[in-house]
Amino acid sequence: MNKVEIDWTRCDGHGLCAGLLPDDVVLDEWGFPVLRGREITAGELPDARRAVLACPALALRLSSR
Amino acid sequence: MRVADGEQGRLMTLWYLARAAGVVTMVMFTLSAVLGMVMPGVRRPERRFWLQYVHRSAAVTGLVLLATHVVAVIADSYVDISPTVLVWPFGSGYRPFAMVIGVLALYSLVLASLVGAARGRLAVSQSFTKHWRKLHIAASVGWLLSIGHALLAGTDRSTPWMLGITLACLGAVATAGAYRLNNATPKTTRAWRTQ
Amino acid sequence: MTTIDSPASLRSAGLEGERHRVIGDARVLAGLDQGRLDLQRHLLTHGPQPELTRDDYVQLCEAVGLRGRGGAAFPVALKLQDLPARGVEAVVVNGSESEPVSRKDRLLLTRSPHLVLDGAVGLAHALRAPHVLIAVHDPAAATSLREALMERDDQLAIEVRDTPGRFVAGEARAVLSVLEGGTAVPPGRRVLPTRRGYHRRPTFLSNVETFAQLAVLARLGSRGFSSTGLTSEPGTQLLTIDGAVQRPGVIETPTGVPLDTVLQYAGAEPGPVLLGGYHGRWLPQTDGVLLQRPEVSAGIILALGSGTCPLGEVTRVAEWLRSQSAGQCGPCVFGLASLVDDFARLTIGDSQGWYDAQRHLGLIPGRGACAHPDGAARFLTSALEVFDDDVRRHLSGQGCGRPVLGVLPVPGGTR
Repeated sequence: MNKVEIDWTRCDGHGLCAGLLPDDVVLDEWGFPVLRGREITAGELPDARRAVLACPALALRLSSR
Repeated sequence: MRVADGEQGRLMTLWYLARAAGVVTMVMFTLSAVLGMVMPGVRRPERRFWLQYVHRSAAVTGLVLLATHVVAVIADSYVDISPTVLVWPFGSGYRPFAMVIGVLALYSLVLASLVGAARGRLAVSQSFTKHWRKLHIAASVGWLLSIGHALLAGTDRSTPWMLGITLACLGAVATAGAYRLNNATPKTTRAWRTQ
Repeated sequence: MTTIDSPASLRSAGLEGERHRVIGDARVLAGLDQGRLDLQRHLLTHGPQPELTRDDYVQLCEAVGLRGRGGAAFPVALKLQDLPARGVEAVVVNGSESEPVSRKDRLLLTRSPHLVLDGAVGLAHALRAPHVLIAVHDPAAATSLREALMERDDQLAIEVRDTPGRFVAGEARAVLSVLEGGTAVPPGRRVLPTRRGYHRRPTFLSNVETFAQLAVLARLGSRGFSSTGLTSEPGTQLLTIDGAVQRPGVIETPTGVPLDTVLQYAGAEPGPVLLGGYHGRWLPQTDGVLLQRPEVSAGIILALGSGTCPLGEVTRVAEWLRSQSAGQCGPCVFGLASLVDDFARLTIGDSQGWYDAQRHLGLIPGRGACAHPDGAARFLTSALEVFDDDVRRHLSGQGCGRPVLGVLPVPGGTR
């Protein structure tokens, strides 16, 4: 049960997450991420981790619940 | 005589390796620092991603070479440096002041790398995300100590090429620092301030 | 279209002009006919606050289904049960009342401060919380509270603190942030104050009226409290009515009172009605609407009347909502700015404005540190639905032929 979450106060619309997780994140017209709200499957987990690591603002996080 | 020559040669190889590793370590961390400082000015996602990649790779290469440098210097019998220098750098037999600077540089560079590597894993913690950048930058200031170490301890410090490399490193970081300060891109959204 | 200063915006915050009325029993507004209740008159009117345990409070709140009166209408019993058995740090009274139309919390704090204090102090004793913090924005309310505190000895650390008067600054976690000495913006992570509140310790935080209702509930017991109002959520509620009405102000009514009764009582002009303030919804019709939570939210009713341009009014409020964002989150900052532009274009007959507005309204909910983008989107979405005919008239290029009177109060006007 993994999901990506965004701290909106940190997000600055760099857009790296959308490039790394195209199935879960798309960018809106202002460049800010729109989450599909899907769960991250085990296969996508490495990509999700990479996206979290890549976020320049540290706004992205993986929550497991 | 020939045997002794070989022995001498092997010892010198270790010594040369130590010196070479030291110099390239400095160059690698300089590269990593420069990229780190330039990065906030880069908004294009793909470019930013590659910069991150090279920034991290340079740091990892730097760490490996740093380990090589330390092991070689200690294992080498040409100069008298014992392993305890890593814990207690004071009172080293060989250029004690330079050793202190070098060990402190090592601590801070390792810390900066650890903080950088912990980024993804600790993103869940709110206080970590809040203080991450400050920690990473503070630890990276230790890079300056490595330049000091090179100028004080390096066997080749007075050769023109070594002086050239060291000054080039300093210059690169100074330029990148100036670029960063002048091109500080503020966050596109700014929280309302009340106090 | 011209914007004219209406009586509604001139009335503003004048304390002396604070009017209140009651339909049915006066409970939280009891005894206010002769003005502010000092301690003596408070005790004569309401009697002393009984000392109850934490379990008593949980049972009482559960029995009467008491809900928070700040807008979110969260069941108070659940909030109490979520607190840990030990180590509750503070009881926080949120009196920032950042909804521009709302007057009920100010009225309670300026006229009946002891009732609110009884509710907060009684609960703090029951929860063994060492601190009671009261966040207020209105200077008159703060003065009234400080005067009231001089008359009492509650053996607790009670503090009255000023909070900035921005809409988003009234959000629970933004209030906690100010109380801790930080800035009045909601933090980036949604954590419940009952788990991590004041200084990251368990905290009970609620709206001013909730505490007044708690004080009444403690005195009346669940049966007495339930003698009026809905069976699902008995008791009374405070409403603030404004806009195109002859008698604006705060009204205490039983829960579930028909909206039409309140509109008639206040002398509202016929026309569209906004329920729940600027994070609320425009109603398609008023017949058969009963006023209850969560729909009434913080109890704000705005009558628009029929002489003003609805779209123009809504656009003014949209501009105000944009200005009230804390400015932290991209979708809120850019989304609300785009929506103001969309509505302005729509009003002058640009159909692209309508399509853009629809897209942007779908884009901002759920994408912020607080519920401001969600609330603003709710308000604007319902406006496009309810004012459908008016929108068509504007899109046809002729406009609706009515001026923008400024019936919907917007503090400080718009730029």
